[in-house]
Amino acid sequence: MSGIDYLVLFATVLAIPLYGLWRTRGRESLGHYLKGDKTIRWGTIGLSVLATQAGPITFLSMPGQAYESGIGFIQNYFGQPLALLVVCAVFVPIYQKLKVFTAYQYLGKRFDRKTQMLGAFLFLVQRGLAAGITIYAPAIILSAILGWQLNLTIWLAGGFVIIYTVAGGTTIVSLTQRYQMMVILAGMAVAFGVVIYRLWPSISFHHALAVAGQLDKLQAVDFSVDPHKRYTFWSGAIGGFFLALSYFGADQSQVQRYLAGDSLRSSRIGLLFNSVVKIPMQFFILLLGAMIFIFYQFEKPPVFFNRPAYERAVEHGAGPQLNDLATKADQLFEQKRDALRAYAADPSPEKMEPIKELDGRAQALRTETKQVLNQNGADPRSKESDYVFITFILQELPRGVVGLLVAVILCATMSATAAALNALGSTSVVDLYRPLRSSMGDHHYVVAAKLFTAAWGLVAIGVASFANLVENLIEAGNILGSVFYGSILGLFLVAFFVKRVRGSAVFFAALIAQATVFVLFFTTGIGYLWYNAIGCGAVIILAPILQRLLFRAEPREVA
Amino acid sequence: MSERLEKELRDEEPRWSRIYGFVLGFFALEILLLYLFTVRFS
Repeated sequence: MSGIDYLVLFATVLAIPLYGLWRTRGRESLGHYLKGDKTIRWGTIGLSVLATQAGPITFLSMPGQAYESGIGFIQNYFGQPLALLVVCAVFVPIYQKLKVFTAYQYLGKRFDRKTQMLGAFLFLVQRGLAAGITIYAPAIILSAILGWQLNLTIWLAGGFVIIYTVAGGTTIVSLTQRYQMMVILAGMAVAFGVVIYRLWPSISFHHALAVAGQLDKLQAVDFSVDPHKRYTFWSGAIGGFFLALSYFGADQSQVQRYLAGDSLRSSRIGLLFNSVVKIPMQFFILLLGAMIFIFYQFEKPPVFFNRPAYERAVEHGAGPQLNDLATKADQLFEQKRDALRAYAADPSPEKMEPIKELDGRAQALRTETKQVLNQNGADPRSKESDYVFITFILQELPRGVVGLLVAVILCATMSATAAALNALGSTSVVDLYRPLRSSMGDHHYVVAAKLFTAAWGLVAIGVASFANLVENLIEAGNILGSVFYGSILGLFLVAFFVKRVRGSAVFFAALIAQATVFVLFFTTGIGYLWYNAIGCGAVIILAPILQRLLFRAEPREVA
Repeated sequence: MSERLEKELRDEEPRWSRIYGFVLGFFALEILLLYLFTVRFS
């Protein structure tokens, strides 16, 4: 990165939180610290919800995912618009009516204190770990590619977030997320523009789409019913619906975003904004990855994008073997480029056949290279796809834009982490600490919320510092969420719709459901999105049964 | 806040139902376009 890139990077990353600190100075009530104020409108809520969900992995790993496997990942979002409608119609009015600070407070009001604490505890475990992954994922890639020290990168991404989140609470999180999201969207649009512009002399956009489609990169919808396939219309629409319903309805990091508004209307429009823009946004991010794939059909790509793994294998003595594979890859690349140029000059189906055949051989060669790397020190769980987009940014984008795109990744890290820390601090105070020390003044709880937020920040940095690579980075957060979200969602759905069930029945039903999901997770290989439906379904079925068989005489207790 | 909220919920529900219908229609259109995109380019 050049000097101008560092200037753009640090100016962007620092300016937004500093502005937020200036805007939110001197506001100290608990209500303000946890729920924000009336200056937060639907636009800020919409962008804040979008930024909280997206995170750095979306922008760093997703183009690489499309580069490698196509844009089928888009189907994971098919359940989201429907889930957001349910949240708008059912969850938001209840939260607003009861004036709760956290979603789990509602469980306390509807059931009892132990159920409130169970919901809060499951959230704290899941979100505390996920916050660590959110910091770790971009840090490991940026440090490897840019040569930055890993722990320094983790502290750079996490340390500043702790300071401004502790200082400004919910208002600063929403405010900074608005501007961070604007930077992110602008950066991704510039990257998309550059790749199309760079492709133009070689192939038109339309023909680039045709080639990408023929090479299996553009299958957006797959109606297969195979439960072992990770991305299908059905797993996305059904499993994705439960994941999104749980995430938006019962994950405090999101609930806090849309309760920050001045009215029910602001919360609802902010959420509906997300239900409309999410799928198109993800589509363009994935399409960017597919276009980068086409770009690297005309410009020679690195033999292996995960450069650190490649260098480690060379140090292990695999250099001659890798050089041999690289020579074969170069020859294949040139043959394929010639075939593509012939197709671009005269697009006809018969000219596509040799391209497909050469692409198959190139893929086989990449698999062979990967096996050599795995035998020579590369972590088999580290994904080549995570390094594709950052390599493209550093090698192909003009000076200044590189700094902007690295800022995009750091902004996404900061915005998602800030929302998580804000929610972890709030839940710790409202659902665990305040019930134990209930007679203190407002100022005491604000200080406690700040201390808990800072403590969770240090936990997240600790998790990030000791984390190992967990499969593909893009998946790690979703898998972790899916393991816990089902039972949390089950608690809320029983609370809303099964009136006769009381605290103890739903509490034990949730414990059994969570244990079942753990067993399935460790013993079967079913697609992770299904855990949401299984956990949630188990609570909904078990709670009335337990109520009828074991807790029939239990009186209603209000926390 | 609570009275205002009750009134908002009571008076504006028909309008929100129409908005939800619009969002649902937009979602169906998105899926249809993605399906047509898949058919066209795969």
